[in-house]
Amino acid sequence: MEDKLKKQKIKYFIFTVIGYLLGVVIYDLSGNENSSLRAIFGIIFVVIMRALFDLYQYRKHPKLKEKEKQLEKDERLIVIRDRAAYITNNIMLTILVILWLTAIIKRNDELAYYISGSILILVAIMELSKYYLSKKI
Amino acid sequence: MKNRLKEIRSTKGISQEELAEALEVSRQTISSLENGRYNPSILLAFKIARFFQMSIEDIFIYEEGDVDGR
Repeated sequence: MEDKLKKQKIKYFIFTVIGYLLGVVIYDLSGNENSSLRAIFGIIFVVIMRALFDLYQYRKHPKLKEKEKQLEKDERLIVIRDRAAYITNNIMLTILVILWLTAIIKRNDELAYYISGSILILVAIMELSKYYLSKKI
Repeated sequence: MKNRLKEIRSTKGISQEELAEALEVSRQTISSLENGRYNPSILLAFKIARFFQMSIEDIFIYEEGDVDGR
């Protein structure tokens, strides 16, 4: 069952890519040129493709959804997810700090301003989450 | 932390898949527990002990100096 779930996730990803490409191609073929609308069209197709895929999968393998829910509660997977999020956050912050320093060196004040704002927001969200969780746990 | 999970499971003739199903965890979690790569939460340790009708100490062996294996 778990192997089926893994295969399903790969198929899900493929369907996402196909859905997006299909949406973009259809949009282009209909003679439109607005890039924002093109992206939105692609996203709409992704949602449609994924919904159709879900419907097909759960009709074919009704127990898959049950297993998926069960795995969401798996404590080892939760630990893995938490650690991955922590690493991602640290890497993001490091990249942003490097970009901020680069912007300052290159004397791009506007970019440095936006990046420092992003860093502050990220740190604030992290600290607020810590505060909330420390009160809850 | 060492454990006797693999030994106990084999003695009872239960597969990893079956144990995972009974404990509502993934098969990889059982595999990681057996290999000592992952230490269970107290809740899962109780579930495992209850499943085999044993005490936690009969399955998991705490040794002085054990660090968090997660």
